[in-house]
Amino acid sequence: MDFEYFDEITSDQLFRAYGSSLPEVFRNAARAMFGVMYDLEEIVLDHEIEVCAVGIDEKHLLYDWLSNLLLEFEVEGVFFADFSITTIEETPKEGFQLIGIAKGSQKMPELRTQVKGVTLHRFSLERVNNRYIATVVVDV
Amino acid sequence: MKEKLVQLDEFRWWLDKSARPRMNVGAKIIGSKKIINTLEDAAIEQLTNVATLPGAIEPVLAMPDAHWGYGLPMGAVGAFDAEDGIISAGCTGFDINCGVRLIRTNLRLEDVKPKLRQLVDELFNRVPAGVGSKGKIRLSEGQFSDVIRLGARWAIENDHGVKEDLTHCEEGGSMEGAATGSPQITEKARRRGRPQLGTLGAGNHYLEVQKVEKIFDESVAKVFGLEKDQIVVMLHCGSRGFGHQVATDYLERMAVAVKKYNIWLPDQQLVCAPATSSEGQDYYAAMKAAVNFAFCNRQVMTHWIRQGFEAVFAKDWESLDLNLVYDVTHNICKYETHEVNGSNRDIYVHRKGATRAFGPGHSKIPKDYQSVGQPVLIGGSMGTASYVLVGTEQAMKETFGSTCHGAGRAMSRKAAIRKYHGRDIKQALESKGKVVRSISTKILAEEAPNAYKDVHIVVDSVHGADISRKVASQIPLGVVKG
Repeated sequence: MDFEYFDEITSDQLFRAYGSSLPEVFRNAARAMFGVMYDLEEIVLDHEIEVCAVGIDEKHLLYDWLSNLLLEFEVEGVFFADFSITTIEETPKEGFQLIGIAKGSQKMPELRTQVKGVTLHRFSLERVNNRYIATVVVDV
Repeated sequence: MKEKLVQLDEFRWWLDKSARPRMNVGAKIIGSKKIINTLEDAAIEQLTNVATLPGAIEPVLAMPDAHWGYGLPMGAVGAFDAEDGIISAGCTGFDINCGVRLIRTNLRLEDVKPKLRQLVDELFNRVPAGVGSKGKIRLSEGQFSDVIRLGARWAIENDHGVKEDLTHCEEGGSMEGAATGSPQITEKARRRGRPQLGTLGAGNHYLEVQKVEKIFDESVAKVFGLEKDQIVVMLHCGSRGFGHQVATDYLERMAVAVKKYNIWLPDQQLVCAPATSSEGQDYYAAMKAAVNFAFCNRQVMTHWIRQGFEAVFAKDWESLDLNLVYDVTHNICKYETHEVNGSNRDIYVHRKGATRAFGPGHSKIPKDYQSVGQPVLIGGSMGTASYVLVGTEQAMKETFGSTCHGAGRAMSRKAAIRKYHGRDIKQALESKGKVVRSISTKILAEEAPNAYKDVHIVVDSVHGADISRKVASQIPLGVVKG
């Protein structure tokens, strides 16, 4: 399973994304976030945008990655549905840096709701038995 | 946690600071027994989290529309000392100055009914809605700085309204001291916000043509210019991507600040900074910019709503009396002075899903409403009733001049989508004679009226507790959604 949604929080959306590597969990968390708004399967992948992120650690890198994707989605008007991570690097001075590609279409799908932001409520990125688990609550 | 609540009277419940370790102050919940029965334990626990923050002033408050959110519950108020307390980007949330404004008309149901579909279509076409929607206004970098510095004043200066509109907005539609650029406002926030002025957005935001259904207080209604069977327009939206980005930027910055200032947090979403610190004051200046964006956003759309009515009824908006009753914000942090334990204290009041409800005579409310108190606008869920209330002296004494903001969700969004279909919701509303236009039909399922608490019970609780009083209720005739 790449990601799953949980009903617990009444007004916002909790999801968990999984991956056997950091790039995989980052991809799946992004897909889970945009899957809150529309059906990913509806999107034809005919646009690509490079998206960068930085963070003092891997968890903050994930926060910045998801937040920057929301920003690009709104500004560029691309409905993202798939993602690939080109590089994740740890630098001695600036912490972690990521370069990724977000793929999607400018054709609007049927929308369920709007994700306003990525909250820090319960936000975590854990590694359990060589598997990464990202827990995210988005404000909708 | 619910078992630790002590009932004070029919509409008040107390949670002592001994309820859990590290609480600095107690918490109070306003609501009937029925409200308490449906309140999630997690929401009560979130109140106790806020009570642990430095400089918290008793009590942390939950309104009857409270429900489990992130950080502070939706429908809650947290006040902190302006010297020894904190300012929290996490407590205020993403949708800074999400708010409601009410525009009255001199039209009656019989005037609007034959033209309702045309009117709703006209409004739908004039007010851009939807996820990531871009506005019709193209702003230069300099103009954008003016928008976030001046708020609704910018719209008035650029022929999107009249001066009288400003006097009928909380804060006069403009908070002084807003930041406009680096380091307080990031390039990301400016980039996200600049194309979005004059957009409704999506989710729970809406524009409704309503009919005044019932008057509860004739004399106050008269002061607000409201009467039975009158047509009014309610607009519910906020600071859009600009506010969301300001919140995002400061969640990251305050996450660093809590380590720097050694602040213990029970929930990392409650990130904050000392009120007097550079991080705290930078956030407050950036938040004001987002507040101003939202005021300007609602003002610009008001102008287009007026134009829509002019097109349909072939009269100018002044002849149709499309004047602003009031504009309230329900997601904000405000520096205010309140009486605490018999003396005046300067505090930062965080209202997250809560409305200011200042009583009669307060200097911060418009002159023409001074004798009765501030109008409080309560949006119900889509297709159900909304209310106009009025602020009270009791709110000043008890809730830092605050009351509820809406119905409050009772069902999670995914659960609503599983249970309801947008097409059925639309049909059900249209079978009752209401006209619904939305960018997406699916969005209607998530906002299904039954996914929310009963707004009447919520309002009866704040009325019963006298932290605001019922003036009028409205029912929707036409709904525009993102």
